Amino acid sequence: MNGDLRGGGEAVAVLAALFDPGSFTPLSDPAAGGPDGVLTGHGTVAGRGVCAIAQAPGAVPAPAAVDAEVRARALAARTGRPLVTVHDATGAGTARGFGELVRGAVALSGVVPQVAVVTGAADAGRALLLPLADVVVATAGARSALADPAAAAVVTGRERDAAGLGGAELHASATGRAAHVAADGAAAGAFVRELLGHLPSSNLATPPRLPVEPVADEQPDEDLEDLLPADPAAPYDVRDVLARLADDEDAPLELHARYAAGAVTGFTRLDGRSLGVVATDPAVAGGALDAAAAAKAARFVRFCDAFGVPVLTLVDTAGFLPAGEDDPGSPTAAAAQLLYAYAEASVPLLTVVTGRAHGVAPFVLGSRHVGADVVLAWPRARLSPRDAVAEVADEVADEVAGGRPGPGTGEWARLVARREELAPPAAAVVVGDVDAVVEPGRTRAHLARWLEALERKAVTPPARRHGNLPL
Amino acid sequence: MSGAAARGARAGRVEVDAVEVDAVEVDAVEVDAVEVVAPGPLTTVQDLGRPGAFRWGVGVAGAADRRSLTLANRLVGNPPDHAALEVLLGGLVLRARTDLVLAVTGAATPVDVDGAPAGWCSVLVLPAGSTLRLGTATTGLRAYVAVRGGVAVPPVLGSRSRDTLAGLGPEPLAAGDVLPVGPAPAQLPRLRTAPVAAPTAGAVDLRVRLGPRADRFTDPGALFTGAWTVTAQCDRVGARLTRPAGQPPLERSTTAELPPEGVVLGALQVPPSGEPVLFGPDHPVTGGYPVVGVVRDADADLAAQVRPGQSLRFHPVVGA
Repeated sequence: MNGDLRGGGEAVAVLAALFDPGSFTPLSDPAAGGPDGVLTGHGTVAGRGVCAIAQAPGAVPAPAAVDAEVRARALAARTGRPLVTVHDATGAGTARGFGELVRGAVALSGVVPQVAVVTGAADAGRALLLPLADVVVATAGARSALADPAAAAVVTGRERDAAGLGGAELHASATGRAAHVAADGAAAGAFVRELLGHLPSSNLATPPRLPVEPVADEQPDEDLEDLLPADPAAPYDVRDVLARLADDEDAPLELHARYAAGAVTGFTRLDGRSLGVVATDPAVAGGALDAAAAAKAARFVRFCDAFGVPVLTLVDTAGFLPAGEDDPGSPTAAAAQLLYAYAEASVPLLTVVTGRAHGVAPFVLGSRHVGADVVLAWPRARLSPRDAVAEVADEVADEVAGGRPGPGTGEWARLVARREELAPPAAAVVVGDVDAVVEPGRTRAHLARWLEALERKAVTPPARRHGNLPL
Repeated sequence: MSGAAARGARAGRVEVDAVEVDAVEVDAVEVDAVEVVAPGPLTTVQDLGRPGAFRWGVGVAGAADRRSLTLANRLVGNPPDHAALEVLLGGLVLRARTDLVLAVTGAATPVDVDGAPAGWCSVLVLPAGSTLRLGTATTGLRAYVAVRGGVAVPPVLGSRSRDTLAGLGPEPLAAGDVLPVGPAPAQLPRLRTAPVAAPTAGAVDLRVRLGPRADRFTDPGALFTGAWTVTAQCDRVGARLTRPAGQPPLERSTTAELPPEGVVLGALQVPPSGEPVLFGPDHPVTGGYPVVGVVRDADADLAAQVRPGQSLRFHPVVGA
């Protein structure tokens, strides 16, 4: 049946790269008498069932095509299979059809993973369907914009075509709505294939676990420590650290890599298990959290929680972006969303404090008090209300205000160094912010043991319609 | 003439040797100082310049990216207008003669102290005898190194800025120079790290007000179409811009010469070739080619971090 997946443009190329060869079975196929403009069907991805909907390039879907889409969604819901939708059409069809598609997507949210792939245009009403998916992947030439280019030009005074209003590049960086941009349909299909490998078929299943050598048999990774600079403020690429913590030293499958880069989100594997990762990146603005980084992390934590994927949080941050409440990027509202996401999560939450954790920011990054099951810290971790420089400035401010001369440069440096020594992670163990101080090289073994222990973690949610996430 | 002034008269040139340095230290009691081991491609002393002297034909000069200069100063507790070092693309190596506190901002530059990686946009402690080394900037064009107390070379016409066009102010740094550091301000550093974004490697958007000579062009709005690329002809005086064939040229409607008139930072002056020059801090005080538009002052700092080969997009400022 995969003969149907040869040729036929980018949308079909996505399905050809996604499905196991020969596994795709059409539900509605224009070539076999189905309505024009949409190809739907199901097949297997690494042996597990997945449903798919692919639109033909440029077609405005007719009501019959919308019916075919609705039917494919219903099959995904009934059989508990992830749904991949490939978008390549302008216009929402009839108003009735659009509403049906929205209701279908919302009904599936948190039930089966939904991945949207944009290979062409998803403009006007279709632009609203994309954010309803869990993950949006775009090809380089894709676009999605709600506004009519002519109307936008009149209002803004800037002539921009649809790609200028919402091209893949723009969605990868400025809006962050595209989690990944692939070169073409085949690359996008391969990315989705890898992504689905980290997710369960539905909320009732567990993510696939790969057979691996026992982590406990490994030698400690003595080289991991060499990646970490002695200066707590010096930048390093947290992806290098994440790779060392992963099975086979694989880099994480990153989502939204080019948006809000101060926070890294993605999937990795440890002891064969799928693991969602949230990590501040000290190489980007000191790993500080601004609104975009906090919102990105919040949505990712909830995504993992919806599908039973444990969350590993790595903390080394300069804190919140210091900003007025009305400044662009002010993190308050988004940080509350992130707090909510961690506090609400029922999946295993594991946190490793790898460096700076001052002030309130660490509370919204997998703090034990907000629900993490275990918080480990590396010896280089520094947990104190404020960084040493700020503490010394406070401490000395009174003296200077009282007319006494402030410390000279050498004395000031000694005061700062002494403050650093007063905030070792052992002190955080005593007060209960941290469960244990572990050597970086032993972290994999600790995490593997905790993942094992938390395998059957269950939290009974209170009876309510739903919580009121601070959107 | 005091030792410090004598050194200023030589403007920190190479010929500082041990004997002269001793003489300085006898004169000025325990002056903090930093030695230039290697200056990189071009390092100059810059503060916020010498405004208000146009009438005498003296330009403003000063840091090309004023926001990064003032951030570096705030990090080390200095007043915002203290003189610091503007480092083109990195490569600067400094050795502390005395205990110093520094900060590196601006272009995203790997920083190390005695070989150990250190923070960018962070407060750095440089004990006497230790070495600060800037690698090659990964994004952005100009890094700023502020030292607590400020670089205390003698001011010229009220500023310590080097004007590379006029040859005014302290000479660009050379290996072996010893720079005096001023007295530490009362304000202590208040924060270890300023979490700011590194300059982008992508296209930079600049807001431009058309005029004063937009009427000398057949279509001044062509400036706003597509993108421009910064050429290798790019320094503190200005950056020549070009664009790929096929995009609308910036054509002058008249070749009649203008009498020379005053120009400002951010002016886009268009010679007959149609390739505009975006004026930087050391721009000439007057110019004869028509200025099609002026980049908003707030965006001039962004322009200062754009590298040759990088793209610029101009957007019109309407009204006010």
